Amino acid sequence: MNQSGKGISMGHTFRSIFDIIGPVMVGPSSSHTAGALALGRAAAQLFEVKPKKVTIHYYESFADTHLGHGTDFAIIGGILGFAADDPLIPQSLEMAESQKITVKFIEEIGDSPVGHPNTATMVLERDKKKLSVTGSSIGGGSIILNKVDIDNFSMRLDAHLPVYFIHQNTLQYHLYSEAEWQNYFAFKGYPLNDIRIFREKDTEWVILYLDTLPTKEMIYEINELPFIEKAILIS
Amino acid sequence: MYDTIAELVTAAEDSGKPISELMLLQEMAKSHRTRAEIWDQMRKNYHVMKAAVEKGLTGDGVFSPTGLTGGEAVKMRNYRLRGNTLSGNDLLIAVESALATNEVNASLGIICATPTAGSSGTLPGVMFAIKDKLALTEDQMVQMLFCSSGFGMVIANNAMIAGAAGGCQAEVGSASGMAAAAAVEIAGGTPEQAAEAMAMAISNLLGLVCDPVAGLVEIPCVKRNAIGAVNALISADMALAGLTNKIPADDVIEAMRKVGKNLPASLRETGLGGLAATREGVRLKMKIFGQELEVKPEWVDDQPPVKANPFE
Repeated sequence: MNQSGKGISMGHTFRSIFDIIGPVMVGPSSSHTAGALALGRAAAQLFEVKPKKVTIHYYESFADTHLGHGTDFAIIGGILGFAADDPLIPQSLEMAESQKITVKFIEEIGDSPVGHPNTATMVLERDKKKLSVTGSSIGGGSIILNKVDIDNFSMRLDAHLPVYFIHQNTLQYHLYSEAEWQNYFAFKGYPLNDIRIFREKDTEWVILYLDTLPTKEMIYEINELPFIEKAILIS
Repeated sequence: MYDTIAELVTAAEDSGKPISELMLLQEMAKSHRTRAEIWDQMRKNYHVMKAAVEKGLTGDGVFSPTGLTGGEAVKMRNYRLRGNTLSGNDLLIAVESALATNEVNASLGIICATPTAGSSGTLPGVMFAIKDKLALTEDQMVQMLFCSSGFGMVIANNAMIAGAAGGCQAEVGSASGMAAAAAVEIAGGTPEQAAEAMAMAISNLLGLVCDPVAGLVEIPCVKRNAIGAVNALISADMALAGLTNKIPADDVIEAMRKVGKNLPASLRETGLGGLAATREGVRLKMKIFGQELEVKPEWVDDQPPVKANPFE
């Protein structure tokens, strides 16, 4: 697998004042509830369709306290698409059951595979489609997406949000190069923190590490680029 | 963005702008949103904070699903209103507002994380304690949130704000430091005094462990927010009186990071050490979750058992 990019993304972990004052959320824990919900939502966005089976692997502090912190209903609430302040979040497990989604939680005994005490690996499945996302909740509801495996295509990201997942069609005559992506965002006044390209056979994922949310106009323009199969913005 | 408290203070002094204003300008530049949009979002956060305090103090109060916490903010208010308190009216408004917010949080109600949910009562505790005394308008209350966000962001980027990463000092300690700084600014203190207040508040809570009983955000979290709020108020007063911390704010943040890294995992939000590993803490966990819990001897018996009381 080829991987380009500048290595670890530089910049500040907490970038918006609303990472500090916020989010508005259902209690009781920003890292174990709001952060867990954000992890679940990111996985659901990447999976794109409703999963039939969800398996959550918890590590370290998540493994020890997920029951008390409402991490279970938060992470499933995220997968079902709830907002952080939706008062129905505590009922998400019942909702998943009524939607015939099989849910399983596993408390892993060892250390986090990505070196953070609040780590979860979420495996979403539907027929032959499979997604695995490993992320960590770093406090105040903020998260990092560490590792993503889409149908056995593996990417190590360590990305803060917002992050753009762009699937390019390698059969196209011309794709945007790393420099062209950089230029596009710089021209719009939204410089990228980092960019990484993962390529294997005819599959190519471009990961754009953003500083702030792009405008609706930019999202529209990116979706209209002819070589883009799909563009998923996780924020 | 400001990498250190020193940079933030210097920028405020050089520009003659309060730290709250610098944070608003930074957010405008970063997010490409207007002043009005950002102000409006922060005002909404303030409304959530206000609603949580009111909810926790209405009627008999709120109770968590486990029954471990709830109703004590109301008890505190009734006690305060009877007069004859030891700490005095204003400090106890801070206590009841902090308790109310965290009881709402534990009841799975809606709160604004400041900077975290576990520490969500500290900032409102301070804000509502001084609101009437200083006759603060809604805009001034919102201004306090902008100011505290500046201090919080430097703490979060240089150390940590998650209990799992750095213990309760990173949650209630950070919140207390943020609240102390914001209280100084709104009371008319200088940026330097705000930084001193933050430094004192965090220094006072350095090393505070995260040891939630049954892994819940209830015991001791709810009451630790009361101490976080009161600690912030006295730290703000000390700074306004001209007292200094001697150890600069940025060094205090670095000390917190190092202490946090050195805390054993059992004292970082695993619910396996400290109060959580006491006999009663373990009993409560088993009662709530109905499951056996492995309690390693080293978590409970740090000291050899005392056989007899030498003073008897």
